[in-house]
Amino acid sequence: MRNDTPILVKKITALSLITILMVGFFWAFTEMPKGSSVNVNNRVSRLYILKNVKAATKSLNSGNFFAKGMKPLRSDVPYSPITFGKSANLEDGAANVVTSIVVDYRGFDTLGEVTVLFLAATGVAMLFFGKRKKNIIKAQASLIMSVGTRIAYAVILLFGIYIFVHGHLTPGGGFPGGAVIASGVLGLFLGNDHYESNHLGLKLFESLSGMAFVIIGLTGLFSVNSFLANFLPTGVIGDLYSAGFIALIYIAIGMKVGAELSAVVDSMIVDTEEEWS
Amino acid sequence: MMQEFLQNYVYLIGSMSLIGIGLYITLTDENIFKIIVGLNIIESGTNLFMVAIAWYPKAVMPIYTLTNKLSINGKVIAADPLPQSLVLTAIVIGLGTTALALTIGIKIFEKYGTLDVRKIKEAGR
Amino acid sequence: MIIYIAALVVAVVITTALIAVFSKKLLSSIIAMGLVSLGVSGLFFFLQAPDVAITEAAIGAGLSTAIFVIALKKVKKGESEDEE
Repeated sequence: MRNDTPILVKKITALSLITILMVGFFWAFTEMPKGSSVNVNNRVSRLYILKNVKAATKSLNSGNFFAKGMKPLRSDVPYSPITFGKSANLEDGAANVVTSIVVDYRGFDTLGEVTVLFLAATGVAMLFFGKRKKNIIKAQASLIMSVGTRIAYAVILLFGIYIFVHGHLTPGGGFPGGAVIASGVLGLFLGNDHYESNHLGLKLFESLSGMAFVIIGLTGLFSVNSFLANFLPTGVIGDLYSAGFIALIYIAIGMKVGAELSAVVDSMIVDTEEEWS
Repeated sequence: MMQEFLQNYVYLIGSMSLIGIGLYITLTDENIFKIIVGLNIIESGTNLFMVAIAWYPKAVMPIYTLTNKLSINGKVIAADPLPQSLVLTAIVIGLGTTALALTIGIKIFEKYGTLDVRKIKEAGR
Repeated sequence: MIIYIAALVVAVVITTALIAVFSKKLLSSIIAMGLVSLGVSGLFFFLQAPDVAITEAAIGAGLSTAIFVIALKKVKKGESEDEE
């Protein structure tokens, strides 16, 4: 019953397909924004950078754009210049514009992506369900290794927390912070032969941080009339206590992602034995 | 001249090459893990492409600091933050889906005893 | 000036991806994939996206490679048991 195509034919077909695809892509490059012709002033990101989305929405709703013969868009929207450390009470106080988009302007999108991550982690845990045995790395770790990973774990945990608490000021945020914490947990597994993580605790922690995200969103819904709206004052841009609820949500995301990825590492590294099937 | 060509095309060429190489692996290789490696390389290429169309020469990073001003007289001089924020979350989702795919690969190995796609297909008949 | 360094990094990344294609051993292919992620994270830094660079370096080059190696180890353990 074996009627597979020979490998050489398969490779030649794949190469020709990819060549056609690449020719199409490079042909399309003539129409795409080249490096030297990108103009952010024509894009919607101008509103995010200058933090005047509310002004744009207001003038769009009042019909001013088209009534006065204005060119519909972004460069006509009034804005106030922003200086680091001085401007106060902006509509979004985060100094890191990427963070302000991820958490504030497009926060609902982030909630969906966190849900996808939760489903992936649950799937991994479900497929490896069973009686838990020892972890599969039998490296016979030495004393230096096992003590060193524990000391390094404390430092790595602190660094991860630093990254997600300062997410609105410096590059970083909840997602890389959680990943850094998970790599610390991976180090613990590699360095200690008999290390066992608290699986139930990880799941509980993760669910609680996910619920915190939704509860913060619902607070915005009931106090400002919009889901995931900012309900706290945005202070001076550049302070640690600024940007309203962004720091709170990024702390929740950081804890959730850290617990989730740690649970994934834990499920994959611990050998299980199926009790059912 | 050379510099202008590089500024226009180098990142696009790099990302498209990564996508092509990843596609080649996924189409021709027969090991399940190798196919997942190819998918990861495609993902890297796509992320690079999305960040590359946000950049232009002499752009500054989109973070307000003491010395970094993002606009001069109403003209924005920063890189586009919107594709960057999309890529930021896409990377994390990529790790989750990769872990799920690897888990399913391990389960397939436990059932059939091999990672070769052709042998699995034969055993399934 | 920095564009020339970026072109060099792009060349290195493409070479590493080709190594990932043509290497016979699965482990070296996985390590090459991690190096591709590392090079791409450097390119993100040249593209003025430090957020994405940090995330890619922590996840793509670190955790993703580690999870691949763990999965490979699980499979290799089963293979050696079968042979014995």
